[in-house]
Amino acid sequence: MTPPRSPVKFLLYGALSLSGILAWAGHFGLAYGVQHLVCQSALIPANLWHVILAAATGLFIACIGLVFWNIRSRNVFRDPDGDVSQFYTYVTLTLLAVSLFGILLTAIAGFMIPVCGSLR
Amino acid sequence: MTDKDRQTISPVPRPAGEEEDLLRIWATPKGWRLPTAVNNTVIGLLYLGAAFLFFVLAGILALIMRTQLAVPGNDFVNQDLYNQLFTMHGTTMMFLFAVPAMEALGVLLLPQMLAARDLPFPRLSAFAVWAYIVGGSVFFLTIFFDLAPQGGWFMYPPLTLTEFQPGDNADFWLLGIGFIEISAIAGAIEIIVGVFRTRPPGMSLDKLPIFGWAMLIFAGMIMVAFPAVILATMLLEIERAFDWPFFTAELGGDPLLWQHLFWFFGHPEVYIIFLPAAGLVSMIVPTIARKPLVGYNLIVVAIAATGFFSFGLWVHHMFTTGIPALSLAFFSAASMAVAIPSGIQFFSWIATFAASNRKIQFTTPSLFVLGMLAIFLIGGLTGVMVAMVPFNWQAHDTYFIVAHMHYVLVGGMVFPLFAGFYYWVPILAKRQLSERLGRWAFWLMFIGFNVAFLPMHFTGLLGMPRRVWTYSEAMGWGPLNLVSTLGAFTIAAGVLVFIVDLARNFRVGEGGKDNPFGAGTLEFLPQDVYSTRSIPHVSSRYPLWDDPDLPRAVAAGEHYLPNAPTGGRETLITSPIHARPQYVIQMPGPSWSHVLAAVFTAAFFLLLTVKLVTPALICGALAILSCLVWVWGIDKGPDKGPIDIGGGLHLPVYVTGPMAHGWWAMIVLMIVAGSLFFAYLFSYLYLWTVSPDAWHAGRPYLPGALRPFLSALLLISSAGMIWGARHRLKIPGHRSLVSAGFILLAALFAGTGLGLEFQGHWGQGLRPQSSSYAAMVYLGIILSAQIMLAILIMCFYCIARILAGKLDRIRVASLENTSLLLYYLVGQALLGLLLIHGFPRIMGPLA
Amino acid sequence: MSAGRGLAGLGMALFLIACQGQQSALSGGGAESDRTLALTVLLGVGGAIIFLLVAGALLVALRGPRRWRSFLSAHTLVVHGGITFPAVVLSLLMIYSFAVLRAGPVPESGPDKPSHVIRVEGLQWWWRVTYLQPDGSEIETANEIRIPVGEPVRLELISADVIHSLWIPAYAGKLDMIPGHTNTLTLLASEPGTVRGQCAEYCGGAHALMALSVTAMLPPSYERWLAGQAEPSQPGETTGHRAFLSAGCGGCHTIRGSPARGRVGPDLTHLASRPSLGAGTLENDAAGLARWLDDHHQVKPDNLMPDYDFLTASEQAEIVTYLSELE
Repeated sequence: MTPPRSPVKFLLYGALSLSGILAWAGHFGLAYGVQHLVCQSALIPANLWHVILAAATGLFIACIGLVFWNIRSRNVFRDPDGDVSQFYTYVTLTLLAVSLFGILLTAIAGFMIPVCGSLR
Repeated sequence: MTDKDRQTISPVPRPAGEEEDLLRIWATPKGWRLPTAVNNTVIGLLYLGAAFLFFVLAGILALIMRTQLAVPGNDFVNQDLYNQLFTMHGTTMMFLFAVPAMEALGVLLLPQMLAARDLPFPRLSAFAVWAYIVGGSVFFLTIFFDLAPQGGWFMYPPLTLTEFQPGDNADFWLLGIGFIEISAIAGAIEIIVGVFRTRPPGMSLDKLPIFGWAMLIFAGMIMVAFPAVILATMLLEIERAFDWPFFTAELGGDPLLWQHLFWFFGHPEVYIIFLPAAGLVSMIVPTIARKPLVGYNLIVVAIAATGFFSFGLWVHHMFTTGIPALSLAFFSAASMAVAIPSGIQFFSWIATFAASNRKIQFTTPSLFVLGMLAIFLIGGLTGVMVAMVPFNWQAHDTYFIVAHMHYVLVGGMVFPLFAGFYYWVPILAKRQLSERLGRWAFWLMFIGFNVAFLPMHFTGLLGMPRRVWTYSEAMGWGPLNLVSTLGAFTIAAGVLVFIVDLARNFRVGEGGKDNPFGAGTLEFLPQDVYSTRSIPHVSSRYPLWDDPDLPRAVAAGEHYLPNAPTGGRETLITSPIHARPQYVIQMPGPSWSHVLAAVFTAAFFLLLTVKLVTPALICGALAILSCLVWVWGIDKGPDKGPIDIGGGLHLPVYVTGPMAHGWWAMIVLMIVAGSLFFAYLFSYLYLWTVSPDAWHAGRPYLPGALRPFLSALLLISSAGMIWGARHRLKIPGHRSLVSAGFILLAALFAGTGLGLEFQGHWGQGLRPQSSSYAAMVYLGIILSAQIMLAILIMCFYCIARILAGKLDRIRVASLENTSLLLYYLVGQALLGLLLIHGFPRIMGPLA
Repeated sequence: MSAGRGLAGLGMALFLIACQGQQSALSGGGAESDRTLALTVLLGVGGAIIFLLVAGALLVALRGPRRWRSFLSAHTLVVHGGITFPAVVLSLLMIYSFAVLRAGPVPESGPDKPSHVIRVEGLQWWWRVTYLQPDGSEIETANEIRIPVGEPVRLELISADVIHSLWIPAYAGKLDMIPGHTNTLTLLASEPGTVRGQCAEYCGGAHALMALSVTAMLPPSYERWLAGQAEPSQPGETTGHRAFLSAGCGGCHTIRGSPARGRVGPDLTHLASRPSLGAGTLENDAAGLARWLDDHHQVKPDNLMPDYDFLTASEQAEIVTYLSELE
């Protein structure tokens, strides 16, 4: 009989392999949310917008870099089954790369277009 | 693995009578008891058949519309009927055909691909199917009584508020959606637990068939996306019925809130439909090419990335609402990002074709796959066009969009579905469908589709808006529209040929060739009502290619669980990552209870829609009663010792805690509830940014600070009570009245906590009709109260089980699920208290 | 050959409709629509090229020579075809589209602030058009917008009931009219002419019959026209005028210079100067007016005007004559 196992390892694998895309979601949500607040309420002054965007973008890219480097150099997905660890490593790294692209696109939008105004 | 290893899993020859046992246990009920069936193949086929029926019906509506538009100034149908027609066409295609068809394929194919005997909750999928069939049919019938909704499938308020749509028509839309919400979420639970926990031993996640990945992300997206539309429909129905001003601008609401919520669901919805279909293509292409999929890992990346990026696209549908250009630009950027995963899948399919060593045969499934590639490619490219904000301002709500989205949806979903049907028929039916008719069907549909929809790109750019029932000759749109109409009838001819093929050749039953296309995946193992005779040990992505002897060995019972050791329906539960066998679940068989539950649920919503409140409440109570009857017998407890499944493994038949499949389902349900609450938080904060005045005006009605603390205290103690109940349970054979008392107290405390919160606002004179702020306060309480209602029922159920001697320290699944939900409720309610009482206090001084 | 000629003929016909159509997004003629048209052409041509490339790759993969197929079957092709290529193309495209987006006006600031402001209100199923004068006065018309050529005009879009969307493809893309919101759209027409616009957001019942005409005029004639619209009409005490009032029309319609002061329906002060009736549904002539009074619920189902079938033939004729004279 297999002893009962906690789903901790499963959750860890899941969260880690989706880290890139979660970073994209966080960056996207932050950028959109802050922009909404800047334009719709006086809570955040408009002249802070680019500072916040730059800081958030830098932070999330740094996070992605850190995770990428860690997974690559330290073989985080150590597993008795070599196929499994290889699969996880590949998927995680590629998702990190695709997400980085997504974050850069969001940032380009943020720096190219004025923060408020419909431009119509 | 070598022959010798395989021999060791289950000794052969198997004892006589085993197969007869399996046949008897898994037999489909016959005659008038057929509706009680729960086998995934029966339910899945019923599901698919109903979805196909709605496809045909909605297609007929489309033909009526195309006839009307064929010439300028036509009077084939009138304005009122036309407005109902396009509303019903869109709603039926999206909600009653596309999503259910994909769920149906999941129900039908997943267990076969995983060589599981059934999905982990067979009655749940049957319940979902019946609710969907009853509710969907009634919804569709409204078109014949001039009762069909006419607000468009997107139902934008204020047009859909009672002021502009006083009849019941709009309520029927909300009803129709209610069913698809229920069945989609039931399906999502089934699929997530099924994919993670019922894989065959050895099928670690990296060997999961791509369709499994697609369904997993599909289900995950449903968990996050559907709650947004559930909340939206709740808001709309509450505003329609009770005048709570969520969307009325004068009282601090905002019509755009609906659009945010609806498209937060609506855009992912497109990918919810597309991903499983793309998964089908990823299954069929390797078989056509007889080569493993090139870039399996990349496709998994693509599916996961699509799942997430698609949630960054919802404002895509709101580019013309006048919100700041930068908001639009963010969503334009996300649209660029989501194009990448589609590119990956496309080139992966091309590479797989190119890798083939043989001349590709243009059989019907391959034709439909190639047709899909051509059509979807155009849809994807026009998708990039409409993601460009300035172009979108011109193209939005014109026939260009009609063309684009039909290219995406028909290419991305309908063609793969037909390909899949022709491809998988052999595992269901006695013989294959006709190749000759299949080709006719394909070419008629493919040519007809392009004749119908390619010109619409131009019709739109020439200025024809969507959802117009007539146009004047002077506009110059006549010839293009006539061509489109001819194309539409050509598509219909193709579908008709398919129906003829079905009528002539489709006979459910065993007897055909097992694997006519030479596929490499498990669904083409020899099958019977019990699925495969034994559950194979899997060691590659294409086990049938890598081990040509596997079908024989599986059918001979050489692998796991070649028999029915518990004497009932059962399947193997394995670990989520590595698929190591963990335990055997005993599954429920045919029953009337879930069918009745579905019918009464449908009746409940229906009667509410036509405002027959008392009969509705009676049906609601009967639905709950049926559910209780349904679940009473399921939790059998560890009535049998560890059983031998072969390979030297002796597995328990009962586990609780994080290893149990029921625990996983509960977690999925909690995530759904969490998404709903998250959508509520978004709506609350959104309306605050739109109309801070309403919040300012509501500030004096806020109860004193002591009251929320008291509520919080009660809620936390309630969690403590249920924890206590769990720990005071006795060993089997002894009834713990103390636990029963604790459970009662837990329900009482939680209910009182919520009641106190309600009474606080009401006592201050705050009324939900007065402003968007007030409406949001009471909505938060409603969201917790509806979970409380479920908990109340579950608590009494647990007490009844304790008294009946069916709930003890070991056999604890019922109480475990109840406490999980209660813990969740306490968390949600505490967050709600923090928001309702904290946010205005913090924002008050700032505003 | 004949198929090719047919195709060329169809293309030619499309081209002609596109350029002459009064409601075509391909004709250009306004600042925003010209910018968008350039983007549209780039997207269309680029999309066609990519389609041909990918479809060609698919054909080669299916039936091509062995050597080409082995090139296409490589994993790196999936990486570069599926990730690198779209990433580069889409990034460039996105930056270009943002540049087009940025070229749009920033309302309410700077010296280029439009001096002409027109409020357009969407109602089920017509448009109330109000010219906001610099002196604070307002001039109201309906279902017709006139703008001066070469001068930016700011439209303030609002809604009185449900969501509508103003779309005048020749000058600009569409913009929604949403209750509780005021959206602004800047039009800049490059040449004189009349184009058609239509409601693009489904707004219930007669959504298909909610159009308007937009005329760009040279600035001097525009100023003259506007001054004329500001004047009240000079209806004599005709029988038609009396019939109009006694039928209760004044309860919903305004005719400046007369006791008719209703605000529910369109202002009819200068009705006869407008090109159409019923928001682009009928020709504005005596026959059109008679038809409208006869059975406007047939012409434009669900419209909110009550039936006037109780008018006698002579009353109707008098009202028609009266309305035809409201120049």
